[in-house]
Amino acid sequence: MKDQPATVFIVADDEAVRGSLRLLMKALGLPAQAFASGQQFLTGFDPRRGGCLVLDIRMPGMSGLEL
Amino acid sequence: MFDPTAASDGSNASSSQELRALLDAAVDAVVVIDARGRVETFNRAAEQMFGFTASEVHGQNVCVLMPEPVRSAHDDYLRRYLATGQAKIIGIGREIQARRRDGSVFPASLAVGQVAGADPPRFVGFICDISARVAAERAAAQAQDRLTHVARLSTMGEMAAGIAHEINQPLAAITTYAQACQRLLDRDKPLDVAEIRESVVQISRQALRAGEVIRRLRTFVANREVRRQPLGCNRLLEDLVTLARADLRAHDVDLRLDVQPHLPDVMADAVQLQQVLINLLRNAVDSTLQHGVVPREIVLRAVSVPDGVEISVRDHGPGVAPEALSRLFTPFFTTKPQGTGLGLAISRTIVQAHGGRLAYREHPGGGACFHFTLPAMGMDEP
Repeated sequence: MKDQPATVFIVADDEAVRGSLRLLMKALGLPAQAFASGQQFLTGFDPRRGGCLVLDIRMPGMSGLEL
Repeated sequence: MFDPTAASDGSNASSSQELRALLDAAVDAVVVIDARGRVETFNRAAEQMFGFTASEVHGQNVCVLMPEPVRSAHDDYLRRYLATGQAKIIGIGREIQARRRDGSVFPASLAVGQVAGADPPRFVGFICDISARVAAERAAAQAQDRLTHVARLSTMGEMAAGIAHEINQPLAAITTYAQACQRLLDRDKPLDVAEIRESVVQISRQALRAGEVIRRLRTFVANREVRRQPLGCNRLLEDLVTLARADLRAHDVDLRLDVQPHLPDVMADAVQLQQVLINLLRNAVDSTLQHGVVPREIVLRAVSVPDGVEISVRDHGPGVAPEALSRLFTPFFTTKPQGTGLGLAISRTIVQAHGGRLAYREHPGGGACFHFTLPAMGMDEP
């Protein structure tokens, strides 16, 4: 578990924004996982994986700041 | 019957003079013609209105007072009436174009009567110059158009935040894709061409997406002539949704579309109708936010009805307060702290000009519902 590299969690409702960030992380050699909403992230992410969050602030439902 | 222009004597003299005085005191132009259309009487108001003297037109065909194409057709009209007795203008009256001596044309209202008992028939026409009224009507229509445009600009100003976001999203995506490409190209690893290609495709697609938002924005704020033309309702609503969604998302309100496919075409000015719908949607958003309503959802519905297409906007708020109902569409009446009170008034005027009527009803399931019906193409306007 400890050996796992940090993951960049991307949460953005806009598909293009999400897709572009995922590719950028890949180009930088960072593992990334993308979610379409705050809710999806909360139910879908693996808490054992460390990493950082890249959030869209303005999203319908749960905003980035709320998350 | 008397001929007021003919010299009279004896007992007729005083009544003829009386008639002459009456004719010359009249505000309207009075023109009497014989069965062949030749002018017999031309009063003082007619002289002033047309710039001819009575002696100039006396005996001339009355069509000298008309512009083409009526000028050439008038003899036929007269013959047809005499042959069939079918009146197109006699006893009905209508608005016409009239022509002055100098060739200039002006709008006038014309009432024509047949002189009772005269054989061969004679006709009397009363002509009233309505240039001033027509000009006033045109000025009023122009003022209304300007007001409508200003209201649209102001609406767009309020929507700026949402629109900016809608343009920023594709721009952000473009920047990120471009940066990713740069990284991929700079790496020492072998290139994944498919990846680069996909990025370039996305960059182009996102640029078009941003451009499309701007195109709709420009169409919406442009100060252009009002043009009503055949319009597919579905297309109209699709165009609307791009702008409206941006605005609603900025307020975290969902837009639910309940639009029947293959709606009939309507005769409409697309921009003005979008303006009406955006007004209604923004009102619904304001009510939703103001009252903290759940669900945060607005329903835009368009269905085919017997007399055209019914379009409605519904929220889940408390509806319009009873005391506000009667003044809902009155200009400058507003229930919002920042409201101008013009949105619904202008919207109603626009819908009216499209042959419909904007009205309010409380939705059976709760919430305010504003609705109007547009006559489908090919149906008579009311």
